[in-house]
Amino acid sequence: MTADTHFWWYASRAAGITSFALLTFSVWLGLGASTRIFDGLLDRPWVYEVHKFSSLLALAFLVVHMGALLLDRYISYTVADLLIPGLSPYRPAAVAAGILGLYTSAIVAGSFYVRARIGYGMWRVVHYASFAAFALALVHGLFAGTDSPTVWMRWSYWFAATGASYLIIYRLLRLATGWRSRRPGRTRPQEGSAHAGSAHAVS
Amino acid sequence: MGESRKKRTTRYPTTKFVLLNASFLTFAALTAFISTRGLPGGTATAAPQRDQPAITAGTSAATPQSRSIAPQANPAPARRAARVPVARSRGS
Repeated sequence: MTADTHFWWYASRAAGITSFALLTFSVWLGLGASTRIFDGLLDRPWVYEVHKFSSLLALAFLVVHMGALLLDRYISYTVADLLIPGLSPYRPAAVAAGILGLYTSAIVAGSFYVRARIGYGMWRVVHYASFAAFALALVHGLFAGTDSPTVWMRWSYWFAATGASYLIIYRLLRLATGWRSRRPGRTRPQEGSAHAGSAHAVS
Repeated sequence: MGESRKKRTTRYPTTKFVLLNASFLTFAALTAFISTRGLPGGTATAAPQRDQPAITAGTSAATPQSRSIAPQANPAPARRAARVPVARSRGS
């Protein structure tokens, strides 16, 4: 490895990209499950578990990303720089987006484990924050990422954002056209049960 | 037997194992790839800009090594340079 004095700087960049890839994968799976686009191809419990696990892995690599930045001597971040939005000496707004994305991701991932306690409705509301986490991560990567101007990284961001956008639009369209009532094998109460439509919806 | 009814603590362990390993392999491959590209400087990559390498602000030990890597741009703005000696002394 060349210039191994900067190993942590390289490792941090790689961990950030890996984390974003895992977050993208998790968001795609979550949206795919909620739109049932994988039905017939993949088991829903499998999709849910992989969705959950990949979001945790994304967080783990986010910790590696930040830990490597602390060990790195190229920029010399402090813990406060990495945890408090706006303190970063390097592109503070973009780094702040990443920090907020970290907190949002952590809340969403943590909500998997308190779902029974907070109730499905609240869990679902919290889970919508994953869209914000993805957007914040994208903004952070685009505007703070050292590799962002490269062609391969731009295509990666474009691919990730396009896939998520497609699934979000698809989900909204299906919701708008009343797809819930047309699902086979399920009966939908016509009135009187406010929770009936949410008990099977998804992540 | 009770063995077959053993409580499963993890669902889809093989899938998770594969995903975990794929992630680490991706991370390792990316680290190797990025290290071959080196530090951003005169290239098209976005270089964090700073006039002086952080490690050289306040110390001199690492300066020759850092300088020998490349005539690279250095990442943080000038106000960081003023903070570095404090951080250095705290760390060491």
